Amino acid sequence: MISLLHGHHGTENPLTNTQRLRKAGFSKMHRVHLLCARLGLFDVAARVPRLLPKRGMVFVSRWTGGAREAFVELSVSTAQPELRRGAVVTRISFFTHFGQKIKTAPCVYDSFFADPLGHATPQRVYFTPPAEARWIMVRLTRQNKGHRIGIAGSLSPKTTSEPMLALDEALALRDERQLRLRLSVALKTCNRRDGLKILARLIYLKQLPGDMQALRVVDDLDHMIAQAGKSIAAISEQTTETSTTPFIYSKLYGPVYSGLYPLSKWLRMERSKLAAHRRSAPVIVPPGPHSFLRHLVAGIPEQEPVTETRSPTMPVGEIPWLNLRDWQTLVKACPDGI
Amino acid sequence: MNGALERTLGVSGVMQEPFSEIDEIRTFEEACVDAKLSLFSQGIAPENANLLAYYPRAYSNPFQNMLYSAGLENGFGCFSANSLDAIKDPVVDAPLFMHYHWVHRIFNQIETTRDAVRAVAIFHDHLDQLRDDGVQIIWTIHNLLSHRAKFPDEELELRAGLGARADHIHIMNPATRELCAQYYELEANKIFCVPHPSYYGVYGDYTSRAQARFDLGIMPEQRVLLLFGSLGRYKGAKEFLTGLEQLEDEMGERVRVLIAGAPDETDYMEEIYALASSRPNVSVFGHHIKDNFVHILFRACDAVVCPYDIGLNSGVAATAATFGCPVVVPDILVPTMTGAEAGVVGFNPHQSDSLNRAVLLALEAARNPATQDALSKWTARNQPRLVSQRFFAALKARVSGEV
Repeated sequence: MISLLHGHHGTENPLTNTQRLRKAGFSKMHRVHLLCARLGLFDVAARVPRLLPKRGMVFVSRWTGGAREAFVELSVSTAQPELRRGAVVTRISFFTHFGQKIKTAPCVYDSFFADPLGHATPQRVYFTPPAEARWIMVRLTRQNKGHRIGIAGSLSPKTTSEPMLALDEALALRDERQLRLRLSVALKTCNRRDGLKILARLIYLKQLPGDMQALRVVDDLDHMIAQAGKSIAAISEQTTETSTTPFIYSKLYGPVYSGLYPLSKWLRMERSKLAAHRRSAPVIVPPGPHSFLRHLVAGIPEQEPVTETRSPTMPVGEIPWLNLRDWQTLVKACPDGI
Repeated sequence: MNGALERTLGVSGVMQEPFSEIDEIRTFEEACVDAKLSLFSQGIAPENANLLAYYPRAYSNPFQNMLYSAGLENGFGCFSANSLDAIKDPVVDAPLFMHYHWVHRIFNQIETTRDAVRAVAIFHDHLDQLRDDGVQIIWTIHNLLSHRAKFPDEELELRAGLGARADHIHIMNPATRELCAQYYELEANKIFCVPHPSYYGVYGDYTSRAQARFDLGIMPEQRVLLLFGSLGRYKGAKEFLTGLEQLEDEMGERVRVLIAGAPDETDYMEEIYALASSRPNVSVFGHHIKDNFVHILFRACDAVVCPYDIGLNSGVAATAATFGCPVVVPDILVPTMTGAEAGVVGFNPHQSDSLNRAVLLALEAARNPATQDALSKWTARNQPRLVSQRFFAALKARVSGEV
């Protein structure tokens, strides 16, 4: 009965995933290939696409690039009809001239997407070796041992010096370096619109907590500005005592805003502390450290006018992703806004 | 012979789920003996002892444990059959009931239509054989058609054949017969309706709302919507996310959205990730949610959204009600939760703005203390043990000819 259903239907019998990959040109890696790769004698997938063995593989190569940024570029294929996230996991480790593992340099872990057959495009894993690295070991393993994977490309690390691509081009690729280059430009120019796009793409590709954190920060700022401070002004503060003597807000009560979490949360915290101290008295914000932050907390515009040296698009150094114009918008949106 | 039918039908994959060693080790024969001994120890007279084997076992879904929780005290020794072959030869002298659940799983490992057709025929033969051996067949209809039917025509044939051969058909949605009629006929005299149980006592529930929100990084004043359960195309998460901006515009505020469940299709998950990656207020927990985390999600949210395009029953809706959360479900599911209407808001999956309107109503209901009250009462009335009692009472009434 079993044979009636499995394996005797001629053309109807589907190919196995291995057969599909082999038919597409991926050849098996024999022991000799794996041994040569481990000894750094043979870049196994550089000329012939290979099936990644179930137990994975190791490739060791000589490195003369010092501490320059490097990458490994591979195309990864699956016989499945759907893309597989993180299908191949890489671990990159560094060794001295004498083959000793450099313990001060942690291994770099990353992964590749596997694309359906015929749709695979080159993907890069970037890393920066320590200056004393002379040998680099690249280990590739299948995330799911049951999924057959084909790889094509050189496992030999290369240095990179490609120029930055245009934003649209970078967004269309899976190139983390290009995206990070564009992200640093967006950060410098406080271009939150681009920043959101780039971070969204990075999160989709890499799902790194740091990027998710940054997206929350940028999105929060954007939201506050779009709401013109409504979200800040809406904060309820509790004070029972009143005073008419001006209150000098010369230093922050809490820690300086780190830029690692939404500004709105920091503002709420600092504002509640200020409210407790000022007791409804008018606030004066004298010049001094963290002046931008204190003005923002107090909702009092800075007296100093915008000049040529302080253009509206100039970043407010203390608050990432915020330029002077938007900072002013935020301050004005909640005048004396406690 | 053991397991040959599964291999033939291609259901061996079912056992690859997190499995119970007991089910693996214990033969059908031993399970029958164990069941009888357990029934005797409960003081059940031999003439009142029944055996009920169910198939397939769903290890990650507590439904079967809930449904059979009052089995022994009602004279039914219930156990999972890990092999269809073994059921062919009942070895003990007690009435045997064979209870089928998610029968579409017989197509799990099947690749071609031809094999699917053959699998249907083999399965129907298997049912005929059981009937010839005096086994009574029960079928619980969980869906009109499985959510990801690989072979819809063959699956409909499978269901029609099972319906025709079943002695008792258990439904949880009173409209099941009418809804199924477009695909296959169900004889009215075979049907008995016992609604889906609540999840009372199934999951831990010791976290406060404030603590749950803090654990999930949710601000106290934020409004939170939860989409829970396996993430398949039919579950509508993508459509919900697409319409989220409009919902937020209507609400005049941002909502926090939690999407939690095991991925069903890789491509679909990529679409979800792509949509969620630009939205920091959307968190995707794309994996099976462990039981001890379930209450944190439900306690943290204001409303649960089930943006399904179709369905007959929803365990997620019952879970939401159990935790006192208003839930948005397709209109078709509203009658399954009689008595909980204050917290169950229906929407029409064919009307684009219907879902968002329902979400707004659910959020409004969340602020009404009467909603909590209604949901608590529903939960208590439908706790698993009581529903199990009702299930076996209905079954016994049918067997004894009272119905």
